[in-house]
Amino acid sequence: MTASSLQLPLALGFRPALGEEDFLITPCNALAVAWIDRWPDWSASALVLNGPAGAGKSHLASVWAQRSGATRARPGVSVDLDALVPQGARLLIDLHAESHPEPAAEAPWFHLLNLLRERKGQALIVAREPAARWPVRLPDLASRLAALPQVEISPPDDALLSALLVKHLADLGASLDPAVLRYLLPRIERSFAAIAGLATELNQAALSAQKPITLALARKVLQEPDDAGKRE
Amino acid sequence: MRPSAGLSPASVDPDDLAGVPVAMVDCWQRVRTRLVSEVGEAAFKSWLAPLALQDVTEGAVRLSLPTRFMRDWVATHYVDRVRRLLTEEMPGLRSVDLVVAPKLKPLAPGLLPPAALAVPLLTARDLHAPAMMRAPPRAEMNEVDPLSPDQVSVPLDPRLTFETFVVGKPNELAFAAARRVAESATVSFNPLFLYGGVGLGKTHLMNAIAWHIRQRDPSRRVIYLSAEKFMYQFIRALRFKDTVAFKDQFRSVDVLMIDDVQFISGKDSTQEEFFHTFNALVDQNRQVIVSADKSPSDLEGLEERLRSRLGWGLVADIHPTTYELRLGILASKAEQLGTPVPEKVMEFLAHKIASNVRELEGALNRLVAHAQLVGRSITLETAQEVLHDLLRAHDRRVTVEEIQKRVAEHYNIRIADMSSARRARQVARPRQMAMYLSKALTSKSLPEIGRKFGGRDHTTVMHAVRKIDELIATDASLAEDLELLRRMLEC
Repeated sequence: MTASSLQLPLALGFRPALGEEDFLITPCNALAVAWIDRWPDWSASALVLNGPAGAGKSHLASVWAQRSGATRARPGVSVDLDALVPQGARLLIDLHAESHPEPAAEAPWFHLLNLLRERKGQALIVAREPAARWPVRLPDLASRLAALPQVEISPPDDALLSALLVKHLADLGASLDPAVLRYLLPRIERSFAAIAGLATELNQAALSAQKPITLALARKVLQEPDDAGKRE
Repeated sequence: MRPSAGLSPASVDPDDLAGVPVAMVDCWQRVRTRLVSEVGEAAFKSWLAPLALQDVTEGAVRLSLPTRFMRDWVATHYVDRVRRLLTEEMPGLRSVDLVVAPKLKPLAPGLLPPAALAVPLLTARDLHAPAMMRAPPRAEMNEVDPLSPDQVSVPLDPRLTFETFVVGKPNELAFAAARRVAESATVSFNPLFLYGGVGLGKTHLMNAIAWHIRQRDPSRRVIYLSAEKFMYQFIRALRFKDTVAFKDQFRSVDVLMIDDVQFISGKDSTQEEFFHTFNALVDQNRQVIVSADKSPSDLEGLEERLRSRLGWGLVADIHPTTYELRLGILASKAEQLGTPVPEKVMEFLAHKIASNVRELEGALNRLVAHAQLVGRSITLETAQEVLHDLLRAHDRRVTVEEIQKRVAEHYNIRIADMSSARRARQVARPRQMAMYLSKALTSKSLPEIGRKFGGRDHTTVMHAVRKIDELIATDASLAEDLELLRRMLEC
């Protein structure tokens, strides 16, 4: 969201609810959930969870971290890998918006995967792109990454779209009337990122107007020049 | 991935009903059916399908939802309706409570049978390994390898033995050399140098040698580690001013095995140390076994004297796999995993994943795990879907225009007809198919899709999607066309 010149309501910073019971499960993420449920039986020392921005990867990962007692880790040049990977280590490696490890980190990544295997540890690797497609230069690392099990959260289906929109708004402290939801659903871009953006826009508009999110307000938000089509 | 539930939306997941009286189950089933007709299938699927009957005590019904957020939503928007229907079906009802039963469980009932989740992947394979090398039970996995006399040595992988190594033309020389060194009591070749590309089985042979030596003569001290680990340990010894102990440790072994020696190229002091260790061992007639991704003469960043010494013994290479060997490896691996894999799928994998064995085995592991998770058998289609990231370098983003073009070609109509006002069936149906595919394969909003079809309204697109959804269930040839088009567009 870029700041607009309109009267800006304060960002109240409602923290998104990230507990296990707050996760929305639908067919597009059911498989990822099943992999998390299957832990520790991953048949490998790491699982790669990938999917588009806003798909709930980090949420699911934090559920796993809580269950497994995993620590967050980031292999890099100046990281003491020996200390990072004790016997039976559980690591959560979340790349967030970064698409793949930087070239300098490739050797540490390689060493990390070897250490995990050697010390019977396990890691959950979270990234936007499947690890087999990361542009990795070190062939030994590339081959190890490509051999890891991967599970993808696919783009949202209608059930998840509506649930997500309502949840995003709930996280912002706003509620949505089912009639408005029915109006919005067929008219919006069907991607995770667009839904999050739209929720913020709706909330801001409602706060500026000091009104609840009505049909009229929703219509107005969708008609903004930079509406659904451009959010990517 | 869009698994179909294969059940009517209102059917109850039997797992949710443990301990609930049968009469109540029927009653709840009727309520669900009525809910579908009252709120519509879409809303039911999104919010009410996950409602589960938790328990019934003295007229108090407890319903559960998997998340707090869903509970709040249903409590705000649907609970009155649910209460009314329940009261009608169950006259003695006193109260309805909504609770959160936090468990990660998919919405679609029947998608993932819980029994399948409990199948451990490695059991069958472990049974195939020779008794001595059987994988330790899970609880012991965290302990240090009990067979290893030294902490320095990497624990051996119980699955990587000579017995599990699939031999073919490309690797028979390396296999024979490895066996020979492992079996002979005296040192005949020093060092044994195994080389080959990434993921072709060097580490497997190294592990197999170490297992074999330890098995034949447990008194022989074998250290097996990767070159990078050698380096890290050396650096550590330098830091803690402990190099004497480091040297002693390595120079007192009977067999030293160093994997992936290319990792110390360019690391001068590590190389220096390794060179001295190497010489000390060879002079004492101790066995040294080294692996690398290239032959000694092709290893860059290695000092000349070390490079030449590495080539003094027996140098054996592993060639890239052939199609036949890959097929053999897959068959052996599938047998170890104890899961039937159709021949067609193995041929497909052997054909498509030619780069290396590690990835090939990883792919098979993924397929088997996926089949277990969704409780279905492995098919060529699931293989293509599950492994799409390996099989294709990119997922192409399909555009609405491409979809219109493909569909028009397929049905032999003009592209212009995608936007024309013509309503004849032979034009209208393909247009609906194209709209359906545009919704399924792009993230464009429905109004945008409508605009690209001659400025139609989004309700027209919604109608098309509904229509095609209906037809898929009744018209097999249309469903087949659709699948074909989807596959053409996605590849």
